Amino acid sequence: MTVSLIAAQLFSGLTTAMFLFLIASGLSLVFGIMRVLNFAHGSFYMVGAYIAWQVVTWLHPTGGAFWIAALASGVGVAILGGVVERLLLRHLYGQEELYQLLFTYALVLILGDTAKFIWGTDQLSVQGPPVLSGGLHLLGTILPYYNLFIIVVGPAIAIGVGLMLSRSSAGRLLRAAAYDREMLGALGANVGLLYTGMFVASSFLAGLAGALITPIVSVVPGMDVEVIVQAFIVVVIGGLGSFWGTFWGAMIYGLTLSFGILVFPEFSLFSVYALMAVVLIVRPWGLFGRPIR
Amino acid sequence: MPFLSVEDIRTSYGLSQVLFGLSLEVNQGECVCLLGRNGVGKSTTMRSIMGLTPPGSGRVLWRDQNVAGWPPYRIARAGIGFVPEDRRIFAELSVWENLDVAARAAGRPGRWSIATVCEMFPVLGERRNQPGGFLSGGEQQMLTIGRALVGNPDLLLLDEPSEGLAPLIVDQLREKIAELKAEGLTILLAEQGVAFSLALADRVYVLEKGAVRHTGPASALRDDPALLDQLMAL
Repeated sequence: MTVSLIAAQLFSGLTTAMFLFLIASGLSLVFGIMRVLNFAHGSFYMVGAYIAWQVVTWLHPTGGAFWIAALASGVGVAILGGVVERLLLRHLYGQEELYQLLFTYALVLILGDTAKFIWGTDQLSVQGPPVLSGGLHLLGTILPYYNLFIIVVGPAIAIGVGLMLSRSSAGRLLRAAAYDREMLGALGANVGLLYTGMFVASSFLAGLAGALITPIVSVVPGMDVEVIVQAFIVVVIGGLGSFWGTFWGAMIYGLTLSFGILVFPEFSLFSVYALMAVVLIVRPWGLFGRPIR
Repeated sequence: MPFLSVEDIRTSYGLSQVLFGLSLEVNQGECVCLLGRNGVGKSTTMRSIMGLTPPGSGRVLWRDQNVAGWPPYRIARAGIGFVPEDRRIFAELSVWENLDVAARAAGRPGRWSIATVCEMFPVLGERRNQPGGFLSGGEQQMLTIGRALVGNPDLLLLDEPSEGLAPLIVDQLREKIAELKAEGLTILLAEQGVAFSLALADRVYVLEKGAVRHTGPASALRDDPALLDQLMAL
């Protein structure tokens, strides 16, 4: 095993990890604060990817306009999330969790079919931003600038959201809502609006992640389910509802996958599931989670 | 016109009805106490006024406006502060964060701020950076009251403030509530501790099976132990 090989796996593992973090963080925040397990989070990510492709195709068929497309994906999916929360999901708060699961699962099916209806079943690809073409020669391997960008953006978003939760007044309100929604309402906070805001923000992150992955992975039906399974594994490893747990869960997932390929090439995905199984046996509430009171 | 006027409310939890046509009034500047044993509907009355368990019928007139059916946050912003029975502080938030969240949630300016609450309850200032869950029972109760005060309410609903506290702490708490009353704050208090409530109340309502069984000035019960025994033996 050479240094360059290890470096290459490290960079690819970190890139995977940061993509997964971008996706799983919204899933984890919505569960941690609203106690809603949103199966459709992966579908929001897929819709974000399709919107990015669509915007790039409209504006600049030969490539370019990537940043505008990424922003449009985030905003478009945020609006979609807002509509879903206000009109539908809101009515299921306080109901059995099974109803929420069924509802979000129905959304997975509806959004999946809608995407196929609009965009077909072909693989679509999007060119990355020209600014970030090329790569960095590092430790005998090449780290594409775009991957480097993702490796930097992931922790930046993590620190930003982490600070928002721990230091800002909005973060304090969200943590109080996670702890006792009814009491916060009795103190005068419009918790319904707070929930909508939370869901919109989480949808924005999903849409943005969907757009950002398009230069690396082609846009296809089925990417929604694939990613939601991975995001759930990340969140389970890190601890459901724990924000930093999600970050480290994604890191562990990404690096286990990339180095697992080196050790057991035939069983690369197996290593991740094995890891999850071990975590669930040793700490069923995840590495950073807490046992349910 | 009374400040708060609850008119013939009936409230149920699912299929089990708890309040059967309960009515009461609170005038500005008064301290009114709900007395009665466990399960007669004192907490449900509080929850009905606050909108947490909205009454199925009847009216809750707050400053001449029927607030029955309003969401709790609007009732809070209209000037009713709530100190719930089980305190329900945000245990993972620090003392200061608990107060800050409450001040922002209500968004009502006035005499009370985090600073003035900490003047009244110095222990909250001393422990401002500790998680609320680390406080003792008495300190938690002070935090709950402080949390309601920073919303600058015109009426304070106090549900069983002395429950589960040591006698010495109960005495301190009574003095603090008396101070608030002396400042002119209107208070509706629900208590099982008769001595505690009679020391503070101007008027009392004795509840039985979800309705008012007796009402009158607190002094009448203070001066007539026989009447008190008869009512509380219900």
